[in-house]
Amino acid sequence: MKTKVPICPACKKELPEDATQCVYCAAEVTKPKFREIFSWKVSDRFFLFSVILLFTTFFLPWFPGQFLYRDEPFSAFQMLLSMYDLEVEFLESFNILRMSQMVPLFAIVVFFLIYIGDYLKKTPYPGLFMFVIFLIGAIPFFFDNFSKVNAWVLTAALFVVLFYYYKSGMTKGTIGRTSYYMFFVFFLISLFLYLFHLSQGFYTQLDAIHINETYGFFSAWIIVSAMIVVAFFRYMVSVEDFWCLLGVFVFSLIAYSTVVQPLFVSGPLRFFADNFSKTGIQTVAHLKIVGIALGIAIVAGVPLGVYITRHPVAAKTVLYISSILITIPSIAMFGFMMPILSSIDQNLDVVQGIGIGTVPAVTALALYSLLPIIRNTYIALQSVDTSMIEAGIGMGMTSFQLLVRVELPLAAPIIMAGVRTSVVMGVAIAALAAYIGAGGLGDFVVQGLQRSTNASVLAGAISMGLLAIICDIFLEKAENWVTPTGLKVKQAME
Amino acid sequence: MGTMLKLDKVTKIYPGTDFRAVDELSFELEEGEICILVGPSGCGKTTAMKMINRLHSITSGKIYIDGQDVSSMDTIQLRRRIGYVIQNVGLFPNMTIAENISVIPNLLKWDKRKINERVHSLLEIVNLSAEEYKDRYPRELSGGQQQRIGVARGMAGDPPIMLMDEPFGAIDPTNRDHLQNEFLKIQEKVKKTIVFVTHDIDEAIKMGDKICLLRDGKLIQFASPEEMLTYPKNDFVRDFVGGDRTIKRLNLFSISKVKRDDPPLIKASAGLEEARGTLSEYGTDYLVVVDENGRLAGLAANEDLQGKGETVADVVQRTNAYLDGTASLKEALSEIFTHDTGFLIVVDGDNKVSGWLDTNDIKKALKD
Repeated sequence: MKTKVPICPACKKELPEDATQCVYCAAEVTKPKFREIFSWKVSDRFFLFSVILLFTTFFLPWFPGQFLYRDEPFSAFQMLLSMYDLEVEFLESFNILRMSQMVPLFAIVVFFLIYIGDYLKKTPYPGLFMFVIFLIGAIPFFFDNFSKVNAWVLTAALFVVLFYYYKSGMTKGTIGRTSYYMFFVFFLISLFLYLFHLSQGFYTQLDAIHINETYGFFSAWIIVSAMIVVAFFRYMVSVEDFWCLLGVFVFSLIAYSTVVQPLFVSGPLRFFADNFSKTGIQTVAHLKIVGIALGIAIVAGVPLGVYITRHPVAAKTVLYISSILITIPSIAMFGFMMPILSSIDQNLDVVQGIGIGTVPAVTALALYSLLPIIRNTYIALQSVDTSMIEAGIGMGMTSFQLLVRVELPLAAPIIMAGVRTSVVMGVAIAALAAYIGAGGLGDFVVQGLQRSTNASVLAGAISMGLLAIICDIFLEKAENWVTPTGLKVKQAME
Repeated sequence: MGTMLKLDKVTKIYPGTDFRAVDELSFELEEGEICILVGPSGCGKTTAMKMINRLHSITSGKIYIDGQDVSSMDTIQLRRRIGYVIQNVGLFPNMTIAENISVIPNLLKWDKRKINERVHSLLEIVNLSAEEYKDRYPRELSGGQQQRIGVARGMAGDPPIMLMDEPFGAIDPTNRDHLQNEFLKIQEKVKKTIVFVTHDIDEAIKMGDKICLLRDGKLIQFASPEEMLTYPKNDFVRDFVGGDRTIKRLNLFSISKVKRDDPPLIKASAGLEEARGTLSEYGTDYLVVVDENGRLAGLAANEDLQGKGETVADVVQRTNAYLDGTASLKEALSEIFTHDTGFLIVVDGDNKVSGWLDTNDIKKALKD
């Protein structure tokens, strides 16, 4: 793709490709969003291209035709379309469902990793993530395959290596970058091994298989191998990086049996793959509960917060009550809601069927979300500089004008922080809503506990964790968005 | 020029106390005058000011603005008619400079074009380029610039009266001096009636047309700065204006009013002989040397004139012992003591010599 030359918005002159400020008139140049994606470095473009290729294998001949009584081999896409004609045992025995879903899923994950790569490199998440994978990947492997003494020695050695890795990474400030690259390589190798694993299971169980007829799967395999090689050389900047990547290479082979296989082949990720549509439905249900509760909490909490800043006597009471509300154990709160709402249900004809399910769940969650919102609104309005209030009143603003034009805009970021706390807390607490029949991702946990299926419990927990993180990232953006520009500008030097 | 502001036995007693924060305060202010409320802390000066726009309620007594009793007016409308500038500026950081200035015009529902014009003209008045500053945010500005915007915002609604609560209190002394001068220049242009609160007597003397000295809520003396310095009413006033009040009075005179118009001039082209004659005529140690156009060229000392050379130009030496006619006598006195010429040369805007003065002239001015 031919990169467009940026043009200054003020004086309409052409600028050098990576200019952020106009060379002629110093106006700020904001690039359109798509340019940010397509102005990646060569290797990033290679990965992007690979992802697209990987995605196309989804539509290449993949399964031998005899599965669906056809003459021609057909693609994973076609398999997914006609999935409902097949029997469950048949799908399970050949891992067919997972095989057909995995390529687009992984293509999306790889794309996402590249897309947020620049952001991830600046955060501690990749380093933390690698640390956890190292521990849960390597230590069980040591204890399974070596004598107890040797396993302890190896574990200690691993800790020493990790300690030096993190120490040098922290001092140089490269921990995010190297960990991200290591994670990327680890992810690709795991993907490669997983594809290998699947194909083995699949192709060895079928006799009449002709690779040239079903090359789609092997194309995917080759593309991933090429990505591993490029990633390996692209990310090797120093000698240290070489050792790190080599370590990850070896580690990936080990960790496949302890991390990837339990997660993908028999664990929660397999659970996701098998319950793909259900996960989607429950996520939406979960978000619905949290969203409605949050809406109610904002509509009630912000005005209440405003009210108590003007009536200090009420402030104590309101904050006290909402503090008490938040200390009630969540399971008890959901329990309270059922009898209370059922009695309303029975005595009023207007509302029906509110004693169980979404309504009590939303009510309880809204009560929980109130405190962070009320408190943050209260603190935010209290912390508005008194001189601004004096100036506003002195100039003849009414109390309402002052609130809308000055106080609320200045308080917005802090109020938004309260909303963020509420949402993250709400996503976690809503898990218990499954107990009173409201559904949501908590269903996986509840059902998993009842049937002793760990995969289901883990799937629920992981998905809620991810949901909370994603919500938090979005709300962080929202926080930045509601912050008045005047508060973000650089302070003048005196 | 009628009476713009009138306080009539205004008293403030805070609820639940017997203490009279302001006790039967009465004074009148002409249109276009700056009245400085000054006094030690806790004297009720801020309370008195805030009663004018009814940020504090009036316990008894009346305040009239342009003949209208403020207690009979709607508070919100009243405040929109009074410019208000406070010590911490209180610019709204979420609004641009233009939005900050147009707060009151917006409240008064002026139309967009008029507001825009007003913002431009106000920024011009406070000496900030409209194009450069109107879309910036308060935090990007220095303290001094913010205070100027604060003043512009106070004037935005074109109020007949402005209240200023220690507007320069939070600014460092160098900038404060500069801002005070700027403000006086602005006042020359806009001629507002201003009530100005400060605890700094020097500021009061410099800025005020009238000074209202308060103690424990009571009016001690209401007079022009000159009167207060020359005839302090009692010991409290004398103490408050300080032992150096004579020196402070010097601030009130400008050089051009005191100078003598016959300086010991000699042209640079004149011969030494002629110069020696002029010197003995005046009896001074130095002669002021000017060029053909009457511009100051320097000084010629007595002993140099006795030496070799043909014209005064050969013996002239450069000098700093001169001041512009608009400078105060305080500065003049300081200059006289800095240089050993014994007198100060007064020049006009073009650097032309217009007069001279020495310590005797200053003494005479203070006696009158």
